[in-house]
Amino acid sequence: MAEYKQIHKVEVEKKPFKLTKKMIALLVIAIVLVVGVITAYIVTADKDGYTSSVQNSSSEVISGDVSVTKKGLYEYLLDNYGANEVLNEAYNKITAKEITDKDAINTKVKELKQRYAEYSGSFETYAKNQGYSDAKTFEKEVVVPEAKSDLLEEKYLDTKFNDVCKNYNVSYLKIVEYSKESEALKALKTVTSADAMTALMNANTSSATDLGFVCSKSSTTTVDKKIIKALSKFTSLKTDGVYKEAVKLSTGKYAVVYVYNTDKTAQKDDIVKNLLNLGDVKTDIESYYLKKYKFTVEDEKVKKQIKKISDKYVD
Amino acid sequence: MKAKKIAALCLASVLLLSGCGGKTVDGKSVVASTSEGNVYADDVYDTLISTNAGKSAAFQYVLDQLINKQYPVTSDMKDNASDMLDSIKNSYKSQYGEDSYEKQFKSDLKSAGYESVSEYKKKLIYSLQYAELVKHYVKTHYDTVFDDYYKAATPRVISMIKISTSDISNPTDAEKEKLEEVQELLKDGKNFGDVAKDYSDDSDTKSAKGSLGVVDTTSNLTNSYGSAINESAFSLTEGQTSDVLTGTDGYYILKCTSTNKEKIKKKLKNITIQSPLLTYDDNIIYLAFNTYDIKYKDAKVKKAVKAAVKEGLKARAEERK
Repeated sequence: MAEYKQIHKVEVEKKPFKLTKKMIALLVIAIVLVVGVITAYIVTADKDGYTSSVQNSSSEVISGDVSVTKKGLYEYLLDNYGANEVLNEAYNKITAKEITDKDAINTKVKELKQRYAEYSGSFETYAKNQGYSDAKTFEKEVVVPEAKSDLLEEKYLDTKFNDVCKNYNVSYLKIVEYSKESEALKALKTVTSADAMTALMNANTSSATDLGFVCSKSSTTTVDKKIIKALSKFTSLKTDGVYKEAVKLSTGKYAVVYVYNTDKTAQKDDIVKNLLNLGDVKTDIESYYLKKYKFTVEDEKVKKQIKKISDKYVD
Repeated sequence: MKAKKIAALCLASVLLLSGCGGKTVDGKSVVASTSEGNVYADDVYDTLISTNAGKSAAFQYVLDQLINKQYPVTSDMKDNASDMLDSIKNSYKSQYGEDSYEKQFKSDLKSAGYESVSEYKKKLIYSLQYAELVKHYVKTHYDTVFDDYYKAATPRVISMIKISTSDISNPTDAEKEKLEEVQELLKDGKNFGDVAKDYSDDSDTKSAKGSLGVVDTTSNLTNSYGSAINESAFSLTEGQTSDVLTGTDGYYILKCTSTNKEKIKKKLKNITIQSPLLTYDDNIIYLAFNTYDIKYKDAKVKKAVKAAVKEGLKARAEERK
């Protein structure tokens, strides 16, 4: 019996629904895929899991008394060294683009090889100690990328020298400490020139220190934190001279602070050398280039690990 | 119409499925990307497994899997780990007090790299699994291991008498008198063990006639009693009694009961979790590992694990030179 349904006053024949073999096959595929999607979602949505994987990850790489899969080994390696390795590989791509002067690279490589040879007696021994039986492979895989990375840091500090000096409050300081503020202020008035400061330091050798290069990233174990906090005041001096106030130190003492080498350009090499020794500055430079080259970590777990090294590397 | 809807659902599922496995390019999984190119999972893996650190990590991972398979966690191990944890907590309690011990304990754990107490407990359980693997090796290779132990750790049987002092730099008359009495008795020929039983203030050894049992160069007597006691223990010959030694919290007199290889070998034959043969050699694990049937199906993994084992055995050989 045919049934009829009225739609817009047009009478149409309503056919009974009948599954064809083709439809059943498609339905089965759809169900399988949906189950797959849900399973994959459960697996990858696990906050502790990696979303990246190696090829043939489920393959067994060791059998016998123990079974080890490539996936398990890959993830263990990531747990221990993944964040650093991913950063290295990304940074290598950036340095390859930024640093192309072969002569400069060769010179830097030579310099690094010489340094490593001094550490271990010979470059070959150093390479061997690092797990490379072939020194040439070590040079290619480790030393050349390191040389490029060093050159990139130098390039950054060279091209952004003025900004860097300003941002890190680069200063050269000499200080003489006094127990009483009144003593410090009295001494401060005598410092009318560089020679006067030298004379003051010579007269107070046990409490006088030439701090030399100081910046906002200097270690508080070598420079009093109150001096570091006041650096912006010292950098406001355009010419060499004594800072107008006695600075109260964290020890409770008072310091007469003499600012010198205020012509930063004349000290460029020394400033660059000092900045390159500071880990925080290196991190800032690396994060600058990683951002410039749109560094994006696709694997959320690796991203979290990189953030633990420094949250400046990833957004 | 129905067929079209099903086809659309299939397509959507395929798209969703491809999105769930993380980013891929040309079938290769991408860990990170820059405008200059991608960092692929395969490249990260290949680089890591070829470094020294990666080789050690590969060995450690395979070892962990081996331990978990051959010596799975038992309820006894869990109980033992709980007891160990309680004992550590109690020692913290006595040192830092009921109110602040937990904070100190957690802070120390964090400094040691543990995020939580439960993570530390897992590590304790793992150490018991690890000990089981070494224990099995020692039991099945007892003669070889003991020979090496005897040469490397100079074991001997030591007994002690302790006279406690409230202040070692300023002993009381009573403390001095007790020491003199002990010296007199030993001089008169009274048996060392009997004097220890009657006069020693060391609660751990007194009832065993002063016997410390087998001590070796890894026993760390310096930590427990002081450096003078450690030095003396290893300079005494069999049957010799030491002079009065000044320790961290009292006076000590030591006697070396035996250095005889066969006697000590017999004493240590029963291998328990406390056996010094399990702990005297950090690199024994590489020997134990080599006794298992490890079938490598991947050349890179084989190279990495074998290199780590070779390095471990090389370091062991260096120590014995």
